[in-house]
Amino acid sequence: MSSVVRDEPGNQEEGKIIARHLVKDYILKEKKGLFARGQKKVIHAVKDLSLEIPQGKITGVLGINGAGKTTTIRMLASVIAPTSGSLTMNGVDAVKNHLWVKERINVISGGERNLYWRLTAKENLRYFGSLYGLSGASLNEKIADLLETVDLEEAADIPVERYSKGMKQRLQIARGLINDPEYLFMDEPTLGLDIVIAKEIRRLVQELAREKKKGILLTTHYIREAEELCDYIYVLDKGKIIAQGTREELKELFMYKPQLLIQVKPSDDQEYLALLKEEGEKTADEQVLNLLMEHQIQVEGLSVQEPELEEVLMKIISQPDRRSQ
Amino acid sequence: MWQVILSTYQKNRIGIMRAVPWSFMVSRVVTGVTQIVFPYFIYHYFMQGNLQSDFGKYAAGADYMTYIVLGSALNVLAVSTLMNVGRALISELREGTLETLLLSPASRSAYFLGCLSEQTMRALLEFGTVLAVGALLGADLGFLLSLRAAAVIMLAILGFFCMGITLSSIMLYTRNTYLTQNTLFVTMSLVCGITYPVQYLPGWVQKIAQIFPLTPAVELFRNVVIGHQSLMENYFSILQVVILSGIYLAVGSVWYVKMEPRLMESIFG
Repeated sequence: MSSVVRDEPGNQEEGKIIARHLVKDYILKEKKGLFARGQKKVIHAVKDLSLEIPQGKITGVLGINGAGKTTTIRMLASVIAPTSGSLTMNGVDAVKNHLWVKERINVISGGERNLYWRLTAKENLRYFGSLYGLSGASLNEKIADLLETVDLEEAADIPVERYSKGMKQRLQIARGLINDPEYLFMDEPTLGLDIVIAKEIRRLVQELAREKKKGILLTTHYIREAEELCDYIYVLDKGKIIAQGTREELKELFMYKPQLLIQVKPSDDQEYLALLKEEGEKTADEQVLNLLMEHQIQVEGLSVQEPELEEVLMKIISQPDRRSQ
Repeated sequence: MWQVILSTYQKNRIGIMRAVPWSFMVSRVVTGVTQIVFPYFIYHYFMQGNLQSDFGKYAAGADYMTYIVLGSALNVLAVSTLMNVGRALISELREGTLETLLLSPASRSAYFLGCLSEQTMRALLEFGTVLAVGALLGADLGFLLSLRAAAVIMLAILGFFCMGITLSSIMLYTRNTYLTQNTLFVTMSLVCGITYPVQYLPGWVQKIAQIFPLTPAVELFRNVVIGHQSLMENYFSILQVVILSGIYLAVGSVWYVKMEPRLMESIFG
């Protein structure tokens, strides 16, 4: 275990990761032509970002593609160093003590990477456990416990290449918990999973925060998932926080409304559209339904469509007056 | 440290055995056999057993088969070590598992030593095959079963491992394995005195040959096995392998330490 010198941490800094004014610039070299000298281009991936990840809570980071979510996660996990700003974990300088930090964190990404496909679940966990200094009976016990948590006991001795996407994701979660981290960074953990598996993973994430008191940073593309899981949410755009608040506060800010989709007979379609136009395109769902009933237009299907996260975020981005910062 | 070495050994061993369970063993043996059979045919049927008079002077009085068997065996060990240690990290990068290693506080040296120990087991099989086939074709390898010879093999592996650390950084920097390894391996087999003494090469090529640990290692190996010389008589070659190992290890390690943050940014950023 690596040792660390604390810079007199205050009580407020215990039990949380605190980022203050983090900046991350990437320098890209652009070459125009085979023998031309490369020109340097600075990309400002994250600009002046301040946030906190308390233990026992789920903190969400939302943003459209390219907003700086992944760079933020990797900086907070001390995987990449910030260009400027300060980052502390439990009051300890996380940039200077990155080895100490690595013992206390783990990252779980969506997708099928980060696992050895030719190895079984047990063999994978045994290897990853050894990277954190675990061995012998305690490691075996830990592996059995984790496989039970992610419900992979029966598939424990099957090579990962024969796993389904959902099973691989569950094994990823077990891998992320192998060192019993204080903080867990989850980058779109339910991406591409079916509803049942995604629900199971969300339950697991909640349990980790509420019962095991882990500090969780979650990025997601699903607005419902963020609402269901996150205690506090940061919205990023172009590397800056443009909105932040609790679920309730942001619900108000998002002001999104699910859309009611009504399917009518093709023969009634034109009649329905003409009717709506005539009535001034009434938007209230009950008014539309009343109107259809009144004119005896048969409804063939009804469904509720949630807006895409991108759509909601784009709305916030395009309306600066709605931003809380 | 030991734990990471052992678990990396086990992880690599299980992976390779599941990927290529028996064809792998066959390919290793066939490679070893062809390394010897080709020069055997050239020597006996093309050159009709004729060598220039100065060959004996350069080769410590060895016959050509013994000379080439010892050179080829060490070359096989060099290529295997360089290839497996050199491309260990870039293979993790390609398989998408490098980030979990970089995220962990595990020692990178222990990881490399784990890769080395696993691949040495495989490389020794090929090394043994070359020597066994060579002995069948008439090479005089009587003095091979000596502590001196074992010490030279260990020293050679150290040299190849250290060079592999630098090669690993080159591969990660260039994100290329084929050009890097193939260029290097062909160059080494041409200039390091594997199939003919380096003295036959132009002066400037002989100088280039001295930057590879394989050149002094193969000279040392032949002097011990063919010439029955002591290690002390070959202190200069030993020193050369040790110095080259130190240089390659230092260059590779420093380069890697500098490159890891950039590597992390390129994977994660």
